[in-house]
Amino acid sequence: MDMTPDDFPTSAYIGGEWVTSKDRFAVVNPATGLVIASVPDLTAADARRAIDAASAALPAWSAKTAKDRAAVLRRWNELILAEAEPLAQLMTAEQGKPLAESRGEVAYGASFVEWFAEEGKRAYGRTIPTTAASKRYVTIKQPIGVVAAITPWNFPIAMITRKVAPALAAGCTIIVKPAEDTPLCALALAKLAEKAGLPEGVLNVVTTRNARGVGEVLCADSRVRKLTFTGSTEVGKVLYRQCADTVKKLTLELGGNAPLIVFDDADLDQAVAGAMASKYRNAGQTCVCANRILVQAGIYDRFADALAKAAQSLIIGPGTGQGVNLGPLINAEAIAKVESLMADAVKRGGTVKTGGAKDAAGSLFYKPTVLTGVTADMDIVGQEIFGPVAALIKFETDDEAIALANSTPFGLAAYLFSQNISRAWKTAEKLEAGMVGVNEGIFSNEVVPFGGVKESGLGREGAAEGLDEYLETKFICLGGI
Amino acid sequence: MTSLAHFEALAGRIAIPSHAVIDGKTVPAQSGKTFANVSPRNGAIINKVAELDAGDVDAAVAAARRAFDDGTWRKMHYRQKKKILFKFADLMERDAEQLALLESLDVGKPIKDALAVDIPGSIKTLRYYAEALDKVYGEVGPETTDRISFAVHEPLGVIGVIVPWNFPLLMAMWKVGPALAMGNSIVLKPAEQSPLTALKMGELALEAGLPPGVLNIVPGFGATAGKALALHMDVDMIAFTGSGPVGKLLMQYSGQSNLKRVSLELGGKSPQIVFADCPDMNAAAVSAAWGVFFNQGEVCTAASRLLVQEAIADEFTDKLLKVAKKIVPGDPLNPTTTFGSMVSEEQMKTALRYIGTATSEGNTLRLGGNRAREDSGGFYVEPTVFDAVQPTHTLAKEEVFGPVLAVTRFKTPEEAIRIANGTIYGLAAGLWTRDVSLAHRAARDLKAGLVWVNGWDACDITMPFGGFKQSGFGRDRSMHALHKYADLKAISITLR
Repeated sequence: MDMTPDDFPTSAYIGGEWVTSKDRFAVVNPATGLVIASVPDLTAADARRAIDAASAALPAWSAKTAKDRAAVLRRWNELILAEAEPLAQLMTAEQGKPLAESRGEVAYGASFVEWFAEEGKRAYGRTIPTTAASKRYVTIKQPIGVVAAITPWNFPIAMITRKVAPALAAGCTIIVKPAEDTPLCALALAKLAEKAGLPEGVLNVVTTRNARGVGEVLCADSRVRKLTFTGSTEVGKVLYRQCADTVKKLTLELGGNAPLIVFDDADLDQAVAGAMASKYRNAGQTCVCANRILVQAGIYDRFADALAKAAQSLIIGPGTGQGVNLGPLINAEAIAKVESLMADAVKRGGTVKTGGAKDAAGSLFYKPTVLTGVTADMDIVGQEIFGPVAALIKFETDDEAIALANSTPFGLAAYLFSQNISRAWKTAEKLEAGMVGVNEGIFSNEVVPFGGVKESGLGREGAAEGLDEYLETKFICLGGI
Repeated sequence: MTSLAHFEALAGRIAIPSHAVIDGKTVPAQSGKTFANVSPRNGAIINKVAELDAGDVDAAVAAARRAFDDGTWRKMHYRQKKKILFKFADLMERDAEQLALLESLDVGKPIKDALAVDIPGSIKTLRYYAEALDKVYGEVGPETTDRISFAVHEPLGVIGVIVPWNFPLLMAMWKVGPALAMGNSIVLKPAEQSPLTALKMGELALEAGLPPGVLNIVPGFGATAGKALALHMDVDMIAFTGSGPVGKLLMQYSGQSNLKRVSLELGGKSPQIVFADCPDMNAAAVSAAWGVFFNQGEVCTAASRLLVQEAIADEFTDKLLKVAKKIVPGDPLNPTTTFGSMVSEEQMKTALRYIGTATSEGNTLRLGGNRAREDSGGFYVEPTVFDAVQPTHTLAKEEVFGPVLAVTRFKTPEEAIRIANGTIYGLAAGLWTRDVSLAHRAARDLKAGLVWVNGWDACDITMPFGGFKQSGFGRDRSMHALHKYADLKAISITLR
């Protein structure tokens, strides 16, 4: 296949059929403001049809062997990789991230499909030593059933495959409601899954602007046994409540407020490189981006200078531009939030070391920014920035850094930079976070468990833990032996 | 409270075991033969111990087989099994002082170490495996459409355990604990230098209620009793800790007999590497000294090679010598003694021979080098340090199993790793550095079953213990050791 982005579908996908609707909504390129396509604006009734389809497909799909399911997933992986370039272009067009990052995400997204195709064969139960001679105890693993996935716009492919691949490998069927900003990548994935031979109804994609109405249907329907959501903590809490009535299993991957701690004994170059990767990737729009950069007094000025210099070297522009490594923010609300956080920080005494304003490249571009003199009373410390602003807070002692780092209801990612093994290990243990990068700014991949503690969520994605999220344990007692 | 006089008096008072334990009874050798059990503390005979040979071993294996086949232990309710093993541990705790005294008398180790390390370590090991015996999980296969499959752990049967004299009770318990917990029967042959705590252990197991034949103790010599066990057609596995040459023999005996499983925990020439950015020079110096001088250097994981980076070599070696000078041979029964006698005259002579070779090969003697306390009648060797040892020298290659340290200097991390890996052994290795990246890289590059960063012997029962290369295979300690005493059985049931 030699596809172009235009070859990818603009219809929703339910029960193996490409579904249109008279109500449609526009998909906009955030770099240019131009409409690139429109997709069906489906309703709550359509969501119910998707649940019907997933329920109907469940018995046959869950009865297949892991090996048979793996064969389909492998073909899907190969098709995604074969179309990597048009998929990357499509992603940059609807999401805005630099093309190099889009290419990286396609490979990253496909890696979940490949890995779970393999891991699905390892859904072992256990035999448990008996407590009585006449009894035998065993456990087996079984698919949870119909799953609903609500996915975000910041990683339009990977956040879908990270949920869909383990669900399908486990024997579940699934309904995906992609973010309204980035429905095209979701539909492209569904197209490739169809080509890979995925039976009808196993994967369904419901595009809609009515996130609340469709979400309510997915949460209320008792046939849906599991909800998996990546997005804001605020929405996560609403979904959590809505799932209570049917006691659904939940995986929630919510917001973060990641601390990045630079100790005096850090390797300066390593720390700057790590902070750059963690902070400015995807224009700061990831849930694991360093939100608060805590720097020890002895290295603070040198670190701030070096980080500002590195930030100034970023090339800002449309993701398709030559050498561009900082694209636009996703939409007007995102820019407004960054501007409001910056205004508050400056009013309360923060100093803009570099950047600090919108960029001439377009209405959704914000300059890479380094802010020093940040203090705990500023809004930027308590809220997720989701933009290219590095907020530097000074600290004196290790205990102070750890207390600062943990003083948030969130607990997703954390980073620390130190050359001292004992300090690095002790700090990593004390940080209230689901993931810790030591001397490393980027750590996500398919083989490690991704997820948060506290209000950053429930459950883990990726790794063996990620498969277990879609399996139930059944205990069988064989008596009368 | 405790003094030399106290332990000497106690030694005169306690019953010293001398009989084998077979099929639930304490028995002499069928031949009536005994051997003199000498204390290296003063060269005196402690007692005469039953000297078993092939006929006795046959009887012990037959008892073990009967006990296994009739299932009194293997199929016993798990709560009852636990109860017996915990009782066994409690009895060892009750008699801890006696056990420590027997150990110290038998092998010359400081009573202080026997009380603080050998006996409590053995008790903890037994309790760990007693707790674990109902936590041996099998697997249920993922395919559930028309077939259901299980992978389950089945005890092997009769385990022959052959253990050394350096930590007689502890090394025995590292094997007896998991083998019993898995439901096996055991025939244990202690080293002829150190039979006492093993015999006592066999008696305590019976007192605790372990059924007859489940744990048999067969004192005797390697060439007779040990060989008979290793060649026996009805022994399912030999679990051995000891020397490389004997390890190789045991594999041959397995091949000549019934292909019994063999697990070997053999010797080492373990390096401790101190890099110039060592985070705590004083702690490292203490570790460098005690890493090799603990238990008179009679430790398979002894840190017998110190590799020190050129830039700090002089300063660090001085620090090490300052610590080592304070380690003085003394009477093992004196509770203030930290360094006792070698296990035997033969072992003393081996150490002195290596000291002679090192001198003749041009290594620089910095400390010790002599026999000590000769007038006691015992077999003592001073803590000894040689500097400027090249990787090609004998002292850098061969295991002494005595208190002799070889100091070698290096320039780069790559050189250190190359030297560290340049022996036939691969048991333990240590490194001291503040550099996180170097620590992780070196830890993976070192060919050793145990790697310690910024500490020596810094691990416990929860972690597997054993070697790479000619240091052996199979692991003691942790849940891995438990699984070593089981075979995997795959059961598949087709649903019709």
